[in-house]
Amino acid sequence: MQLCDAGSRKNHVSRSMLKSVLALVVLGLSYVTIGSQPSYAIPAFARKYGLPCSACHIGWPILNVFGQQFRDNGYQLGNEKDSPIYQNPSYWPITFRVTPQWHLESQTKVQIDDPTGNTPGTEQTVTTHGFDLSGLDIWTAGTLYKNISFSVLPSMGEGDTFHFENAWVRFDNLLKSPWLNVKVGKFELDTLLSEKRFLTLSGVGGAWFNYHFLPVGDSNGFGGIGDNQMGLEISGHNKNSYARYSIALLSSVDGNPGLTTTNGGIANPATARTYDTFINLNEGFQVGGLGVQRVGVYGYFGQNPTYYLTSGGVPVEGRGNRSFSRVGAYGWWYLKDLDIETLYMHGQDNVYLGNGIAVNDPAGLPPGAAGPSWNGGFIEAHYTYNPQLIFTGRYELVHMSRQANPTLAALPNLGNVDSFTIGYRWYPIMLSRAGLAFHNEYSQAKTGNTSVLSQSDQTIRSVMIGFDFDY
Amino acid sequence: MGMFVLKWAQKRLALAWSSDGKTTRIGMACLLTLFMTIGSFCRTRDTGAASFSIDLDKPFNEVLAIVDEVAHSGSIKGTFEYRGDEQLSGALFTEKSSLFPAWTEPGKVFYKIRTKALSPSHFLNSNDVGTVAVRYVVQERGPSSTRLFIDAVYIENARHHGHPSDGYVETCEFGEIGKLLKDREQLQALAASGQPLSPEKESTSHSQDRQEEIKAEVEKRTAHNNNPKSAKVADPPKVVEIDSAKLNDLRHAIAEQKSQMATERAALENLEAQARQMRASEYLRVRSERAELKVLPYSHARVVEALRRGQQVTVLAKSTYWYQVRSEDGEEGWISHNLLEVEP
Repeated sequence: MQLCDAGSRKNHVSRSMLKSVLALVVLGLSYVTIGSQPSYAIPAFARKYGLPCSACHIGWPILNVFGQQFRDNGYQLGNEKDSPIYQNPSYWPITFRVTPQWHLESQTKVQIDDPTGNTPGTEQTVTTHGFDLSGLDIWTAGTLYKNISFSVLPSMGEGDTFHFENAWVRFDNLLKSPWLNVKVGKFELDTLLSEKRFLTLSGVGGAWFNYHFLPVGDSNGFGGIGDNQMGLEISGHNKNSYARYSIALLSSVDGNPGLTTTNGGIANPATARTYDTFINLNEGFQVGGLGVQRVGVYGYFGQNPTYYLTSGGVPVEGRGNRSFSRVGAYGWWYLKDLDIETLYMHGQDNVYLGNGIAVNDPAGLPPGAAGPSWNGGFIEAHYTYNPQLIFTGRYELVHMSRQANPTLAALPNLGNVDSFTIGYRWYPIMLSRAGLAFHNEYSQAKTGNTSVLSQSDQTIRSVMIGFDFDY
Repeated sequence: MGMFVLKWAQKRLALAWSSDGKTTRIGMACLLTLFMTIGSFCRTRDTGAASFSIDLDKPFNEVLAIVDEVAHSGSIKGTFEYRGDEQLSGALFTEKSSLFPAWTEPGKVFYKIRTKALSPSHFLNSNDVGTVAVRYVVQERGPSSTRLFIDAVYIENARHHGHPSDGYVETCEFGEIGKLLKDREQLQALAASGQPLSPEKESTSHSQDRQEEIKAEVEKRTAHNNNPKSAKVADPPKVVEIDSAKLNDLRHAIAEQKSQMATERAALENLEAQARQMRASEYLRVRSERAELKVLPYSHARVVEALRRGQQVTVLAKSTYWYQVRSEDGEEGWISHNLLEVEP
């Protein structure tokens, strides 16, 4: 058995390489977003209870107050309708969701190779477009027994293999109190401003940069609080779900099965041995006739290995774990038909993670190295003209407050993201049997100093026109 | 063309997104938010057929008693939470409600409230959980004329959104009132014919089988009053003890009573029909090229018949926006008042 230095040689990686990596990450993120969009609206529940979709959704998939209460209560209404005798024998709680679409993706200042290979090439805008499909979600959720709920969501992208977007069992109302619920498995973190119930589906609009941001050059394998995670969650709420809390103990695997940890983009199965924590507290309060306003705070405190013990060259245990955190506050403000989500996030990674250096190689840290930190946030508005027509817009930014080393800091905007999205969804069909949304969206993001050749800002754009349906 | 527009939009947005376009970006965001906020507060709210109203040729006290009974019925007709249900149960009577503006005109006001209603049907854009309220206003118009208003609204708990009924709730609530009024009318007619009724039957009932109950009760009472021995007819073992002559007499008496009952019933129905015709003998005609006669007074209700311009209809009842009419073909239904005009 020998120690393996995973990052000691990375401090000399050129800046252009880092930018390319970031560009690839952004594009990859776009692909992942399109390829496996999550689905969090369940016509199967409406079928089960004989309720209209509007009982739980302002507009699919955004939950209204009762919808949040229903979800917090383990997909139970809390009345006699939960009993199996009220269920149609042919009822089967499965929902399919897929989005046939036409979309356009464009990125400025992409390095185009010189066919001769004699020069570094040129920068050009690359645009692709065409008809496409989203990934397929097959979701089943409900109750196994009174106060035991579950969710299983196998998902796959086009030409992809299935993976579990989520799979969990939850023991609800323990000690006959809504304040004590325990969930085990892979699940969405209790983020009230949910990435899983959003209205933006395009490559850029669906990226949610704050929830997935990593600085340039960072080797942290954490994919962000937008990723579903593996672990155990204790949560609770008051009767109307205005006051809520959750504490989760999570494996440091970013939701990947097989105790897989990641460092510097390389995944190593069966190497995890540390845990992360996520805490979320929020409170709702009624303001006159405007609606229920919600405010909350959250924090994710995690660890990630910086190197591995290997056996026969194969990593067998993550070592040199170093910490990172994402903390912030948010609000969800209702002004009658207009609801506005606001989020602030502060992120920081340990200096070893930020520079991609193994802890057992402190000399590898460049002079002046520091743990990178950044601030970000978004403001997102939904205007519900009626439950069949919703307009949406989001402005999001992430700005670095400290780069991992002076070389990176020489570029003032490196890694910064400024993004906005506008769109609308029209639901010609929104029934307990099925939902169909005609989705139109335009989004664009500017990424700071990421072009390889000119080291200037790049802009990526997405246009999406699609039919988002579930059954 | 599409690509041209797209490129144009991209250029404009790229300009806004350039490094010196920060002010433009903020301005765009502010304008968008302002637009949506103003829209949220100022846009026309859901419109529905509000204020069902009808003039009844009944004394005020009689209508008041019936409306009071319906307001205490414990259920709201014409709306439901779960598919398969026919009404909203668990409703409570109240004399005051903040869910409607204060009623400043004359009249007695009642309310029926159902809290924690889950996206109830037949309220426009119904959503979330909230309270359903029905308001009844009974106004005295004359010694035997009473005006009745019925309104129904659903208010969300969280956003306090008001969702007016599409008209179906008011119609069904009035249906219940109408049924009870009819029952009472029948009972009064029978009482006037000299046949005493039990005290409990003098007050009307909520039962859906009310009609059948009344008939059964009347038959039973009639047989009992006119032939006390008839009770024994229903008792097979005792019938055996009666001699055949008496049995024949008894049968004859029953047949006579039945015949009398049938005659009285026919007379009553005839009177009812006449009264109905008299109080609603208003004729209008269709003014638009094509007008749809609907089962219920709301836009999405099933169409009974398509009427053409100039066709005459008989008005049977009126609400604010919808008239219940009978067409020349004898079809009855509801039609928007905008589609009708007075005959020259």
